[in-house]
Amino acid sequence: MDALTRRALGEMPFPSGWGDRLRWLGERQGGRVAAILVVGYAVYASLALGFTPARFWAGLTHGGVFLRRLFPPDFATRWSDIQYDMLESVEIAILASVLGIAVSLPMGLLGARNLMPAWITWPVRGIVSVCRSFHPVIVGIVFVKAIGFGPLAGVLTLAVASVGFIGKLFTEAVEEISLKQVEAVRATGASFSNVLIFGVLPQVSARFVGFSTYQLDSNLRNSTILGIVGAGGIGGTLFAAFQRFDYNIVCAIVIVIVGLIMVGEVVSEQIRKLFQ
Amino acid sequence: MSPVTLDIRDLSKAYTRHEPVLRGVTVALDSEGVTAVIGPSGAGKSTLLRCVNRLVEPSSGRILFKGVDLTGLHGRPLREARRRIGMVFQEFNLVERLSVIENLLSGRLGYVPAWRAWLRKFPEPDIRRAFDLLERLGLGEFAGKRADALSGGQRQRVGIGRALMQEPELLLADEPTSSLDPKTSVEIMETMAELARERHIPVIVNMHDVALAQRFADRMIGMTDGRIVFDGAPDRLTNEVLAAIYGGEAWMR
Repeated sequence: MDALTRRALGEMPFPSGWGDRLRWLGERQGGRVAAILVVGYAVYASLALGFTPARFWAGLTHGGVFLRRLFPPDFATRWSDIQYDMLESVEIAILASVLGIAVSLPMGLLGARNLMPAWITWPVRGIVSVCRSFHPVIVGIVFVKAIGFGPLAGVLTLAVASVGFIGKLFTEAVEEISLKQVEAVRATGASFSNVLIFGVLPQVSARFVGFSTYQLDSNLRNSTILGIVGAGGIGGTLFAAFQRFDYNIVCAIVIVIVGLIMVGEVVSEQIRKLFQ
Repeated sequence: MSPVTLDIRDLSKAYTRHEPVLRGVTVALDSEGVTAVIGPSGAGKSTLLRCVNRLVEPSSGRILFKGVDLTGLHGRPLREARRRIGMVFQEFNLVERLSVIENLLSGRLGYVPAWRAWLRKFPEPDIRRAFDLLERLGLGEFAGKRADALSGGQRQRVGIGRALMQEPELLLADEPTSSLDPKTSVEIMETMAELARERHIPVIVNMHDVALAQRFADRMIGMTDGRIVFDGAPDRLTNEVLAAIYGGEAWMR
Protein backbone atom coordinates (compact mmCIF):
# COMPACT_ATOMS: atom_id res chain seq x y z
CA MET A 1 0.00 0.00 0.00
CA ASP A 2 1.45 3.41 -0.94
CA ALA A 3 1.59 6.44 1.31
CA LEU A 4 -1.26 8.29 -0.40
CA THR A 5 -3.66 5.42 0.18
CA ARG A 6 -2.57 5.00 3.77
CA ARG A 7 -3.13 8.71 4.35
CA ALA A 8 -6.55 8.51 2.78
CA LEU A 9 -7.38 5.61 5.09
CA GLY A 10 -6.30 7.68 8.07
CA GLU A 11 -3.29 5.51 8.91
CA MET A 12 -0.90 8.38 8.25
CA PRO A 13 -1.44 12.11 8.91
CA PHE A 14 -1.66 14.51 5.96
CA PRO A 15 1.42 16.79 5.71
CA SER A 16 1.27 20.24 7.22
CA GLY A 17 4.66 22.10 7.07
CA TRP A 18 6.61 22.93 3.92
CA GLY A 19 9.19 20.19 4.49
CA ASP A 20 6.38 17.68 4.92
CA ARG A 21 4.68 18.89 1.80
CA LEU A 22 7.83 18.51 -0.30
CA ARG A 23 8.35 15.02 1.05
CA TRP A 24 4.70 14.28 0.34
CA LEU A 25 5.16 15.46 -3.24
CA GLY A 26 8.20 13.20 -3.48
CA GLU A 27 6.17 10.23 -2.37
CA ARG A 28 4.20 10.43 -5.55
CA GLN A 29 6.18 9.14 -8.50
CA GLY A 30 4.98 11.70 -11.08
CA GLY A 31 5.86 14.63 -8.87
CA ARG A 32 9.30 13.26 -8.07
CA VAL A 33 10.19 12.70 -11.73
CA ALA A 34 8.99 16.17 -12.71
CA ALA A 35 10.93 17.82 -9.87
CA ILE A 36 14.15 16.00 -10.84
CA LEU A 37 13.70 16.99 -14.49
CA VAL A 38 13.13 20.67 -13.71
CA VAL A 39 16.07 20.95 -11.31
CA GLY A 40 18.31 19.02 -13.70
CA TYR A 41 17.45 21.28 -16.61
CA ALA A 42 18.04 24.42 -14.52
CA VAL A 43 21.54 23.17 -13.63
CA TYR A 44 22.26 22.34 -17.28
CA ALA A 45 21.04 25.74 -18.46
CA SER A 46 23.11 27.68 -15.94
CA LEU A 47 26.25 25.77 -16.98
CA ALA A 48 25.49 26.34 -20.66
CA LEU A 49 25.09 30.10 -20.08
CA GLY A 50 28.12 30.41 -17.83
CA PHE A 51 25.81 31.46 -14.99
CA THR A 52 28.20 30.64 -12.16
CA PRO A 53 28.37 32.14 -8.67
CA ALA A 54 31.70 33.79 -9.58
CA ARG A 55 30.20 35.43 -12.67
CA PHE A 56 27.18 36.53 -10.67
CA TRP A 57 29.41 38.14 -8.03
CA ALA A 58 31.46 39.94 -10.68
CA GLY A 59 28.22 41.22 -12.22
CA LEU A 60 26.98 42.54 -8.89
CA THR A 61 30.22 44.47 -8.31
CA HIS A 62 29.99 45.98 -11.77
CA GLY A 63 26.35 46.85 -11.13
CA GLY A 64 27.36 48.71 -7.98
CA VAL A 65 29.76 50.88 -9.94
CA PHE A 66 27.06 51.55 -12.54
CA LEU A 67 24.53 52.53 -9.87
CA ARG A 68 27.01 54.99 -8.35
CA ARG A 69 27.56 56.60 -11.74
CA LEU A 70 23.81 57.09 -12.27
CA PHE A 71 23.62 59.66 -9.49
CA PRO A 72 23.04 62.51 -9.30
CA PRO A 73 20.53 62.62 -12.17
CA ASP A 74 21.28 65.35 -14.68
CA PHE A 75 18.04 66.95 -15.82
CA ALA A 76 19.58 70.20 -17.02
CA THR A 77 21.97 69.33 -19.85
CA ARG A 78 19.43 67.78 -22.20
CA TRP A 79 16.20 69.12 -20.70
CA SER A 80 14.75 70.47 -23.94
CA ASP A 81 15.42 67.14 -25.71
CA ILE A 82 13.92 65.17 -22.85
CA GLN A 83 10.87 67.40 -22.75
CA TYR A 84 10.28 67.25 -26.50
CA ASP A 85 10.79 63.47 -26.74
CA MET A 86 8.64 62.81 -23.72
CA LEU A 87 5.76 64.73 -25.27
CA GLU A 88 6.35 62.80 -28.47
CA SER A 89 6.10 59.52 -26.57
CA VAL A 90 2.81 60.60 -25.04
CA GLU A 91 1.49 61.66 -28.45
CA ILE A 92 2.53 58.34 -29.98
CA ALA A 93 0.84 56.41 -27.18
CA ILE A 94 -2.44 58.32 -27.33
CA LEU A 95 -2.66 58.36 -31.12
CA ALA A 96 -1.85 54.65 -31.32
CA SER A 97 -4.46 53.90 -28.63
CA VAL A 98 -7.18 55.86 -30.43
CA LEU A 99 -6.33 54.16 -33.71
CA GLY A 100 -6.04 50.72 -32.13
CA ILE A 101 -9.30 51.05 -30.17
CA ALA A 102 -11.16 52.25 -33.25
CA VAL A 103 -9.95 49.26 -35.25
CA SER A 104 -10.36 46.64 -32.53
CA LEU A 105 -14.02 47.43 -31.79
CA PRO A 106 -15.22 46.14 -35.20
CA MET A 107 -12.48 43.51 -35.35
CA GLY A 108 -13.49 42.18 -31.94
CA LEU A 109 -17.13 41.90 -33.00
CA LEU A 110 -16.25 40.32 -36.34
CA GLY A 111 -14.08 37.72 -34.64
CA ALA A 112 -16.80 36.49 -32.26
CA ARG A 113 -17.90 33.02 -33.27
CA ASN A 114 -21.29 33.35 -31.58
CA LEU A 115 -22.26 36.27 -33.83
CA MET A 116 -20.47 35.75 -37.11
CA PRO A 117 -20.14 32.92 -39.61
CA ALA A 118 -16.84 31.04 -39.78
CA TRP A 119 -15.77 32.58 -43.06
CA ILE A 120 -15.61 35.98 -41.33
CA THR A 121 -14.26 34.96 -37.93
CA TRP A 122 -11.34 32.92 -39.27
CA PRO A 123 -9.61 35.64 -41.29
CA VAL A 124 -10.34 38.29 -38.63
CA ARG A 125 -8.96 36.10 -35.86
CA GLY A 126 -5.96 35.39 -38.06
CA ILE A 127 -5.20 39.09 -38.48
CA VAL A 128 -5.61 39.78 -34.78
CA SER A 129 -3.37 36.90 -33.84
CA VAL A 130 -0.65 38.06 -36.26
CA CYS A 131 -0.87 41.51 -34.61
CA ARG A 132 -0.24 39.83 -31.28
CA SER A 133 2.49 37.43 -32.40
CA PHE A 134 5.39 39.85 -32.53
CA HIS A 135 6.94 42.00 -29.87
CA PRO A 136 6.41 45.72 -30.52
CA VAL A 137 10.17 46.18 -31.00
CA ILE A 138 10.16 43.76 -33.93
CA VAL A 139 7.05 45.36 -35.45
CA GLY A 140 8.74 48.73 -34.87
CA ILE A 141 11.83 47.69 -36.83
CA VAL A 142 9.62 46.53 -39.68
CA PHE A 143 7.69 49.83 -39.78
CA VAL A 144 10.89 51.91 -39.56
CA LYS A 145 12.27 49.98 -42.53
CA ALA A 146 8.97 50.26 -44.41
CA ILE A 147 7.99 53.91 -43.90
CA GLY A 148 11.10 55.53 -42.45
CA PHE A 149 12.32 56.83 -39.10
CA GLY A 150 10.09 58.87 -36.86
CA PRO A 151 6.96 58.85 -34.73
CA LEU A 152 4.66 57.64 -37.52
CA ALA A 153 6.36 54.24 -37.37
CA GLY A 154 5.87 54.28 -33.59
CA VAL A 155 2.18 55.09 -33.86
CA LEU A 156 1.56 52.28 -36.32
CA THR A 157 3.59 49.83 -34.25
CA LEU A 158 1.59 50.43 -31.10
CA ALA A 159 -1.68 50.53 -33.01
CA VAL A 160 -0.89 47.03 -34.26
CA ALA A 161 -0.07 45.90 -30.74
CA SER A 162 -3.34 47.43 -29.48
CA VAL A 163 -5.42 45.60 -32.09
CA GLY A 164 -3.70 42.36 -31.14
CA PHE A 165 -4.47 42.81 -27.46
CA ILE A 166 -7.88 44.52 -27.34
CA GLY A 167 -9.11 42.61 -30.40
CA LYS A 168 -8.47 39.24 -28.80
CA LEU A 169 -9.81 40.09 -25.34
CA PHE A 170 -12.85 41.85 -26.77
CA THR A 171 -13.67 38.88 -28.98
CA GLU A 172 -13.48 36.62 -25.95
CA ALA A 173 -15.72 38.97 -23.97
CA VAL A 174 -18.30 38.98 -26.78
CA GLU A 175 -18.21 35.19 -26.93
CA GLU A 176 -19.09 35.04 -23.23
CA ILE A 177 -22.22 37.19 -23.37
CA SER A 178 -25.67 35.91 -22.45
CA LEU A 179 -27.40 34.91 -25.69
CA LYS A 180 -30.76 35.03 -23.94
CA GLN A 181 -30.62 38.80 -23.89
CA VAL A 182 -29.61 38.80 -27.54
CA GLU A 183 -32.44 36.43 -28.41
CA ALA A 184 -34.97 38.72 -26.75
CA VAL A 185 -33.76 41.74 -28.72
CA ARG A 186 -33.80 39.68 -31.91
CA ALA A 187 -37.40 38.66 -31.17
CA THR A 188 -38.50 42.31 -31.33
CA GLY A 189 -37.66 42.33 -35.03
CA ALA A 190 -34.54 44.43 -34.53
CA SER A 191 -32.05 44.61 -37.39
CA PHE A 192 -28.65 43.03 -36.90
CA SER A 193 -27.03 46.38 -36.12
CA ASN A 194 -29.74 47.17 -33.57
CA VAL A 195 -29.23 43.76 -31.99
CA LEU A 196 -25.54 44.63 -31.64
CA ILE A 197 -26.30 48.06 -30.19
CA PHE A 198 -28.94 46.95 -27.67
CA GLY A 199 -28.26 43.28 -27.08
CA VAL A 200 -24.50 42.84 -27.37
CA LEU A 201 -22.65 46.09 -26.66
CA PRO A 202 -24.32 46.84 -23.29
CA GLN A 203 -23.06 43.47 -22.08
CA VAL A 204 -19.45 44.10 -23.05
CA SER A 205 -18.94 47.87 -23.06
CA ALA A 206 -17.57 48.09 -19.52
CA ARG A 207 -15.01 45.41 -20.26
CA PHE A 208 -14.09 47.06 -23.55
CA VAL A 209 -13.35 50.30 -21.73
CA GLY A 210 -11.28 48.30 -19.24
CA PHE A 211 -9.21 46.66 -21.97
CA SER A 212 -8.76 49.98 -23.76
CA THR A 213 -7.49 51.89 -20.75
CA TYR A 214 -5.17 49.04 -19.87
CA GLN A 215 -3.83 49.17 -23.41
CA LEU A 216 -3.40 52.95 -23.17
CA ASP A 217 -1.29 52.29 -20.11
CA SER A 218 0.70 49.65 -21.90
CA ASN A 219 1.16 51.87 -24.98
CA LEU A 220 2.52 54.63 -22.78
CA ARG A 221 5.13 52.22 -21.41
CA ASN A 222 6.00 50.81 -24.81
CA SER A 223 6.20 54.22 -26.45
CA THR A 224 9.23 54.97 -24.29
CA ILE A 225 11.24 52.13 -25.81
CA LEU A 226 10.35 52.49 -29.50
CA GLY A 227 12.94 55.23 -29.91
CA ILE A 228 15.66 52.60 -29.59
CA VAL A 229 14.73 51.29 -33.03
CA GLY A 230 14.17 54.79 -34.40
CA ALA A 231 10.39 54.86 -34.17
CA GLY A 232 10.19 58.13 -32.21
CA GLY A 233 9.81 59.08 -28.58
CA ILE A 234 12.07 59.28 -25.56
CA GLY A 235 13.74 55.92 -26.22
CA GLY A 236 16.08 57.41 -28.82
CA THR A 237 17.50 59.97 -26.39
CA LEU A 238 17.77 57.34 -23.69
CA PHE A 239 19.69 55.01 -25.99
CA ALA A 240 22.00 57.81 -27.12
CA ALA A 241 22.75 58.75 -23.51
CA PHE A 242 23.63 55.10 -22.79
CA GLN A 243 25.99 54.95 -25.71
CA ARG A 244 27.75 58.13 -24.65
CA PHE A 245 28.01 56.79 -21.07
CA ASP A 246 26.05 59.85 -19.86
CA TYR A 247 24.62 57.85 -17.01
CA ASN A 248 23.45 60.92 -15.13
CA ILE A 249 21.26 61.83 -18.08
CA VAL A 250 20.07 58.21 -18.30
CA CYS A 251 19.04 58.48 -14.68
CA ALA A 252 17.11 61.69 -15.32
CA ILE A 253 15.27 60.15 -18.25
CA VAL A 254 14.40 57.01 -16.28
CA ILE A 255 12.97 59.13 -13.46
CA VAL A 256 10.86 61.12 -15.92
CA ILE A 257 9.59 57.87 -17.49
CA VAL A 258 8.63 56.46 -14.10
CA GLY A 259 6.75 59.68 -13.37
CA LEU A 260 4.97 59.51 -16.70
CA ILE A 261 3.89 55.90 -16.19
CA MET A 262 2.52 56.71 -12.76
CA VAL A 263 0.55 59.65 -14.09
CA GLY A 264 -0.69 57.44 -16.94
CA GLU A 265 -1.92 54.84 -14.51
CA VAL A 266 -3.85 57.40 -12.48
CA VAL A 267 -5.39 58.88 -15.64
CA SER A 268 -6.48 55.51 -17.04
CA GLU A 269 -7.94 54.59 -13.68
CA GLN A 270 -10.00 57.78 -13.78
CA ILE A 271 -11.19 57.00 -17.30
CA ARG A 272 -12.26 53.52 -16.18
CA LYS A 273 -14.26 55.02 -13.31
CA LEU A 274 -15.85 57.54 -15.64
CA PHE A 275 -17.29 54.79 -17.84
CA GLN A 276 -18.59 52.56 -15.08
CA MET B 1 -66.50 32.68 -37.83
CA SER B 2 -63.90 34.68 -36.00
CA PRO B 3 -60.85 35.63 -38.03
CA VAL B 4 -57.87 33.34 -37.61
CA THR B 5 -54.66 35.06 -36.47
CA LEU B 6 -52.32 32.12 -36.48
CA ASP B 7 -52.72 28.97 -38.50
CA ILE B 8 -50.05 26.35 -37.90
CA ARG B 9 -50.14 23.41 -40.28
CA ASP B 10 -48.31 20.13 -39.91
CA LEU B 11 -45.32 21.81 -38.25
CA SER B 12 -42.29 19.61 -37.57
CA LYS B 13 -38.91 20.38 -36.11
CA ALA B 14 -35.91 18.13 -35.56
CA TYR B 15 -32.75 19.64 -34.03
CA THR B 16 -30.88 16.44 -34.81
CA ARG B 17 -31.92 14.04 -37.53
CA HIS B 18 -34.33 11.24 -36.56
CA GLU B 19 -35.10 12.93 -33.22
CA PRO B 20 -38.02 15.23 -33.97
CA VAL B 21 -39.16 17.57 -31.20
CA LEU B 22 -42.31 18.54 -33.06
CA ARG B 23 -44.13 15.89 -35.07
CA GLY B 24 -46.75 17.46 -37.27
CA VAL B 25 -48.45 20.06 -35.09
CA THR B 26 -51.60 21.58 -36.54
CA VAL B 27 -53.47 24.28 -34.64
CA ALA B 28 -55.35 27.47 -35.43
CA LEU B 29 -55.61 30.49 -33.16
CA ASP B 30 -58.45 33.02 -33.02
CA SER B 31 -57.91 36.71 -32.92
CA GLU B 32 -58.30 36.97 -29.16
CA GLY B 33 -58.01 35.02 -25.94
CA VAL B 34 -55.38 33.21 -23.91
CA THR B 35 -54.31 29.81 -25.12
CA ALA B 36 -52.24 27.83 -22.63
CA VAL B 37 -49.95 25.05 -23.83
CA ILE B 38 -49.15 22.46 -21.19
CA GLY B 39 -47.14 19.28 -21.29
CA PRO B 40 -44.05 17.65 -19.81
CA SER B 41 -40.58 19.07 -20.29
CA GLY B 42 -39.27 18.17 -23.69
CA ALA B 43 -42.72 17.89 -25.24
CA GLY B 44 -41.84 20.68 -27.68
CA LYS B 45 -43.83 23.59 -26.20
CA SER B 46 -40.91 25.97 -26.26
CA THR B 47 -39.86 24.88 -29.74
CA LEU B 48 -43.41 25.42 -30.99
CA LEU B 49 -43.42 28.99 -29.70
CA ARG B 50 -39.96 29.75 -31.06
CA CYS B 51 -40.90 28.40 -34.47
CA VAL B 52 -43.66 31.01 -34.68
CA ASN B 53 -41.30 33.98 -34.49
CA ARG B 54 -38.59 31.94 -36.14
CA LEU B 55 -36.06 32.08 -33.33
CA VAL B 56 -36.02 28.39 -34.21
CA GLU B 57 -36.08 27.29 -37.82
CA PRO B 58 -38.91 24.78 -38.46
CA SER B 59 -37.99 21.68 -40.42
CA SER B 60 -41.26 21.42 -42.30
CA GLY B 61 -44.83 22.66 -42.23
CA ARG B 62 -46.43 26.07 -42.58
CA ILE B 63 -47.12 28.89 -40.16
CA LEU B 64 -49.66 31.36 -41.50
CA PHE B 65 -49.75 34.60 -39.53
CA LYS B 66 -52.66 36.73 -40.76
CA GLY B 67 -52.49 34.91 -44.04
CA VAL B 68 -48.73 35.25 -44.59
CA ASP B 69 -46.54 32.16 -44.44
CA LEU B 70 -43.76 32.92 -41.94
CA THR B 71 -41.71 29.84 -42.74
CA GLY B 72 -40.52 31.19 -46.08
CA LEU B 73 -39.41 34.62 -44.82
CA HIS B 74 -35.84 35.87 -44.64
CA GLY B 75 -34.10 39.16 -43.95
CA ARG B 76 -36.26 42.25 -43.79
CA PRO B 77 -39.68 40.58 -44.29
CA LEU B 78 -38.84 38.19 -41.43
CA ARG B 79 -37.87 41.08 -39.14
CA GLU B 80 -41.04 42.93 -40.11
CA ALA B 81 -43.08 39.86 -39.20
CA ARG B 82 -41.17 39.46 -35.91
CA ARG B 83 -41.90 42.98 -34.76
CA ARG B 84 -45.64 42.22 -35.00
CA ILE B 85 -45.15 39.30 -32.56
CA GLY B 86 -44.23 40.04 -28.96
CA MET B 87 -42.45 37.50 -26.78
CA VAL B 88 -42.13 37.09 -23.03
CA PHE B 89 -39.42 34.77 -21.70
CA GLN B 90 -39.05 32.44 -18.74
CA GLU B 91 -35.91 34.12 -17.47
CA PHE B 92 -37.13 37.56 -18.55
CA ASN B 93 -34.12 38.02 -20.86
CA LEU B 94 -33.86 41.71 -20.17
CA VAL B 95 -30.66 43.44 -21.19
CA GLU B 96 -29.39 43.58 -17.64
CA ARG B 97 -27.00 46.48 -17.94
CA LEU B 98 -29.54 48.75 -19.58
CA SER B 99 -32.08 50.82 -17.69
CA VAL B 100 -35.68 49.74 -17.36
CA ILE B 101 -36.90 52.38 -19.80
CA GLU B 102 -34.24 51.37 -22.34
CA ASN B 103 -35.43 47.78 -22.05
CA LEU B 104 -38.96 48.91 -22.71
CA LEU B 105 -37.88 50.99 -25.67
CA SER B 106 -35.98 48.05 -27.09
CA GLY B 107 -39.42 46.82 -28.10
CA ARG B 108 -39.29 49.53 -30.78
CA LEU B 109 -35.95 48.40 -32.22
CA GLY B 110 -37.68 46.90 -35.23
CA TYR B 111 -38.81 50.40 -36.19
CA VAL B 112 -35.82 52.64 -35.54
CA PRO B 113 -32.64 52.93 -37.61
CA ALA B 114 -29.29 52.08 -36.06
CA TRP B 115 -28.15 55.68 -35.48
CA ARG B 116 -31.27 56.42 -33.45
CA ALA B 117 -30.78 53.24 -31.44
CA TRP B 118 -27.14 54.15 -30.84
CA LEU B 119 -27.98 57.68 -29.67
CA ARG B 120 -31.11 56.47 -27.84
CA LYS B 121 -33.09 59.01 -29.87
CA PHE B 122 -36.38 57.17 -29.98
CA PRO B 123 -39.37 58.99 -31.49
CA GLU B 124 -41.28 61.12 -29.00
CA PRO B 125 -44.54 59.05 -29.14
CA ASP B 126 -42.57 55.86 -28.37
CA ILE B 127 -40.98 57.43 -25.32
CA ARG B 128 -44.31 58.72 -24.09
CA ARG B 129 -45.90 55.32 -24.56
CA ALA B 130 -43.00 53.63 -22.77
CA PHE B 131 -43.46 55.83 -19.70
CA ASP B 132 -47.25 55.37 -19.75
CA LEU B 133 -46.86 51.63 -19.97
CA LEU B 134 -44.29 51.62 -17.19
CA GLU B 135 -46.75 53.53 -15.02
CA ARG B 136 -49.46 51.04 -15.91
CA LEU B 137 -47.16 48.15 -14.92
CA GLY B 138 -46.62 49.82 -11.56
CA LEU B 139 -42.96 50.48 -12.24
CA GLY B 140 -43.08 54.24 -12.78
CA GLU B 141 -40.37 54.98 -10.25
CA PHE B 142 -37.97 52.42 -11.73
CA ALA B 143 -37.50 53.97 -15.18
CA GLY B 144 -33.87 54.91 -14.64
CA LYS B 145 -32.90 51.83 -12.62
CA ARG B 146 -30.77 49.15 -14.20
CA ALA B 147 -32.77 46.06 -15.10
CA ASP B 148 -30.61 43.79 -12.94
CA ALA B 149 -31.57 45.81 -9.85
CA LEU B 150 -35.19 44.62 -10.09
CA SER B 151 -36.90 41.66 -8.45
CA GLY B 152 -38.14 38.72 -10.52
CA GLY B 153 -41.72 39.91 -10.71
CA GLN B 154 -40.67 43.43 -11.61
CA ARG B 155 -38.37 42.11 -14.30
CA GLN B 156 -41.12 40.07 -15.85
CA ARG B 157 -43.33 43.16 -15.89
CA VAL B 158 -40.60 44.91 -17.84
CA GLY B 159 -40.47 41.86 -20.13
CA ILE B 160 -44.21 42.18 -20.76
CA GLY B 161 -43.78 45.91 -21.29
CA ARG B 162 -41.05 45.35 -23.86
CA ALA B 163 -43.25 42.92 -25.78
CA LEU B 164 -46.23 45.30 -25.68
CA MET B 165 -44.10 48.23 -26.85
CA GLN B 166 -43.95 46.39 -30.16
CA GLU B 167 -47.72 46.91 -30.44
CA PRO B 168 -47.87 43.25 -31.31
CA GLU B 169 -50.73 41.45 -33.01
CA LEU B 170 -49.80 38.25 -31.17
CA LEU B 171 -48.15 37.64 -27.82
CA LEU B 172 -46.02 34.57 -27.13
CA ALA B 173 -45.06 33.74 -23.55
CA ASP B 174 -42.60 30.95 -22.89
CA GLU B 175 -43.15 29.81 -19.30
CA PRO B 176 -43.42 33.40 -18.09
CA THR B 177 -44.03 32.41 -14.47
CA SER B 178 -41.67 29.45 -14.03
CA SER B 179 -39.01 31.60 -12.35
CA LEU B 180 -41.47 33.33 -10.02
CA ASP B 181 -43.14 32.58 -6.70
CA PRO B 182 -46.83 31.53 -6.74
CA LYS B 183 -48.25 34.91 -5.74
CA THR B 184 -46.14 36.82 -8.26
CA SER B 185 -47.02 34.22 -10.89
CA VAL B 186 -50.71 34.97 -10.50
CA GLU B 187 -50.08 38.71 -10.67
CA ILE B 188 -47.99 38.36 -13.81
CA MET B 189 -50.65 36.21 -15.49
CA GLU B 190 -53.32 38.72 -14.50
CA THR B 191 -51.33 41.62 -15.90
CA MET B 192 -50.54 39.82 -19.11
CA ALA B 193 -54.09 38.59 -19.71
CA GLU B 194 -55.57 41.97 -18.90
CA LEU B 195 -53.24 43.99 -21.12
CA ALA B 196 -53.69 41.53 -23.98
CA ARG B 197 -57.47 41.72 -23.63
CA GLU B 198 -57.42 45.51 -23.73
CA ARG B 199 -55.38 45.40 -26.92
CA HIS B 200 -57.47 42.61 -28.44
CA ILE B 201 -54.50 40.38 -29.14
CA PRO B 202 -54.29 36.63 -28.71
CA VAL B 203 -51.78 35.13 -26.27
CA ILE B 204 -50.09 31.74 -26.43
CA VAL B 205 -48.52 30.84 -23.13
CA ASN B 206 -46.47 27.77 -22.25
CA MET B 207 -46.93 26.70 -18.67
CA HIS B 208 -46.02 24.03 -16.20
CA ASP B 209 -48.54 25.07 -13.58
CA VAL B 210 -51.75 23.41 -14.78
CA ALA B 211 -54.01 25.05 -12.19
CA LEU B 212 -52.69 28.51 -13.01
CA ALA B 213 -53.13 27.81 -16.70
CA GLN B 214 -56.73 26.70 -16.16
CA ARG B 215 -57.44 29.84 -14.20
CA PHE B 216 -56.41 32.24 -16.96
CA ALA B 217 -56.74 30.33 -20.22
CA ASP B 218 -59.73 30.38 -22.53
CA ARG B 219 -58.35 27.35 -24.28
CA MET B 220 -55.87 24.64 -23.32
CA ILE B 221 -53.59 22.64 -25.54
CA GLY B 222 -51.85 19.56 -24.17
CA MET B 223 -48.65 18.38 -25.82
CA THR B 224 -46.79 15.12 -25.43
CA ASP B 225 -43.78 14.02 -27.35
CA GLY B 226 -44.08 16.64 -30.09
CA ARG B 227 -47.79 16.12 -30.73
CA ILE B 228 -51.00 17.80 -29.63
CA VAL B 229 -52.97 15.31 -27.54
CA PHE B 230 -55.58 17.65 -26.11
CA ASP B 231 -57.22 20.80 -27.38
CA GLY B 232 -60.24 22.26 -25.66
CA ALA B 233 -61.76 24.38 -22.93
CA PRO B 234 -59.97 24.41 -19.54
CA ASP B 235 -62.88 22.71 -17.75
CA ARG B 236 -62.63 19.72 -20.10
CA LEU B 237 -59.18 19.01 -18.75
CA THR B 238 -59.97 15.95 -16.62
CA ASN B 239 -57.58 13.77 -14.67
CA GLU B 240 -57.72 11.21 -17.45
CA VAL B 241 -56.62 13.83 -19.95
CA LEU B 242 -53.82 15.01 -17.64
CA ALA B 243 -52.69 11.43 -17.22
CA ALA B 244 -52.53 11.09 -20.98
CA ILE B 245 -50.53 14.32 -21.32
CA TYR B 246 -48.01 13.77 -18.56
CA GLY B 247 -48.09 9.98 -18.39
CA GLY B 248 -49.20 8.08 -15.28
CA GLU B 249 -51.35 9.33 -12.45
CA ALA B 250 -49.19 8.85 -9.37
CA TRP B 251 -47.94 12.48 -9.50
CA MET B 252 -51.47 13.87 -9.16
CA ARG B 253 -52.08 12.55 -5.68
